[in-house]
Amino acid sequence: MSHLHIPDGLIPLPWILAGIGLAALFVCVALRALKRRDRAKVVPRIATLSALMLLAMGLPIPLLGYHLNLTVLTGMIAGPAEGFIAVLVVNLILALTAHGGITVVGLNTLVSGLEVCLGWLIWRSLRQVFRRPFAAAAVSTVIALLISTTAMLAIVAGTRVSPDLALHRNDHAEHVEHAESADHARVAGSDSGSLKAFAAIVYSAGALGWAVEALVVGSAAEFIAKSRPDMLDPGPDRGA
Amino acid sequence: MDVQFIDELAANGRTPLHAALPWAKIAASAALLAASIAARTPSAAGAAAAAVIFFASASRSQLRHAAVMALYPVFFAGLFVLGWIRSDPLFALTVVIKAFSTGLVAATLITTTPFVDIFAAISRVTPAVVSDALFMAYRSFFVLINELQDLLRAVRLRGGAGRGLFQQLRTYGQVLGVVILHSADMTERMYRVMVVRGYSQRIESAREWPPPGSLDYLLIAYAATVLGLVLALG
Repeated sequence: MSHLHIPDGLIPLPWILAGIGLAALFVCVALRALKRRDRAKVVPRIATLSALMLLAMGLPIPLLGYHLNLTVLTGMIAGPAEGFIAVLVVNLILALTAHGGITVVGLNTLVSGLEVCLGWLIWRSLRQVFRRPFAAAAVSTVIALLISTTAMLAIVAGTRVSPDLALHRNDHAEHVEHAESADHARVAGSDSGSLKAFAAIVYSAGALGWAVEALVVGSAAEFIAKSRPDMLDPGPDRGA
Repeated sequence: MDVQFIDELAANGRTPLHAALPWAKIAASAALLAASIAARTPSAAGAAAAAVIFFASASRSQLRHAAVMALYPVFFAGLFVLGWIRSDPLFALTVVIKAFSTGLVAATLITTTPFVDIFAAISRVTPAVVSDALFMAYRSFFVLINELQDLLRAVRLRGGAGRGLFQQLRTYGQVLGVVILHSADMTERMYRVMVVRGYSQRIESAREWPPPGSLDYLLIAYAATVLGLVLALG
């Protein structure tokens, strides 16, 4: 549930443009951070990490139709710059398969990018606190997904459209001025009720999803830490 | 989401939509997507959805696969409008119809056009690192999925998957760990190949498309007409 699955056609144009603009800005920052590195090394790394995220999404989880994201693990392995571009690649492919709207690719990338950056940041901090990589990775995953889900809900709350505006019924409302305030109160009440219901579903289903993701990411991190600890070492060049 | 199956549908299909030029399908899809998004009344959303279904029906038997894919955004639209079903059912209906038609446009495009052709179009508007990563991610996906499937099969055959969900998820994590280690080796190999081939900051797409035919013009004219009608309906 960390992925913003809001379909096309509901988010207002200014938010769509803001999402695309901000995502483009962060991509530029990421590209600038990667400028000094050999592109022939960077591109395959981003590509394989993107492919791994897509692969993980295809793993059958017998629980509420949940799928893995591996965004946090990507952040832990690749750092924020490569990780952000990898989630953009994944979101572009997902949008083409009707998994998240095409017009919300920018917003999706921002939310997934937040998971990557938080995953990298929290993992770096917790690696010294927890003795076992499993615990550090699992806790990093839960915190990152909790924050990104809240960010996703904030986007949904910020972009809520009034049904009256969306269905062009304001013309009629102008002629019934005395009923206008009552109508607005009804819409606002319904709007907040709808958001609460949506948030309740997202947080309750999300909590289960975070546990699943934390378990898988923790196990993967523990395995990698045993076999190739350098891959998860927060070295200086991964700070980009 | 089964990228492998989608790729098979796009590459091996023999329908009028498969025969159309990729840029014509992308242009027509963009116009139909705009029409679906621009619809602001239930009747306009319904008309746009009908037009999209007619467009998608040109992919013949593949329509049902695309329709199943389009149900995914419908599910999330349903969650989104849950609180409005009682208070404003027309709004809820409009949102759900729009989610279906936009999903069907994307699903029809991707099940009738190979990923590589769509990536070639995307690469015109994205930085080289992003477009190159798109092409290579797609290729890597098919290499890694075979490895992942083989590993999972081997684990199951040896009874290593575990009985409970907890154990199964831990096994998934370890199997993914193995694939990640192998993918690191794969990245090294790709790097060496790119250096040997003289990678010059961008993978050039060698796609050359034939001149457009009547089918391509027909698709674009149809989609533009639908967009015009939906905008007129409001």
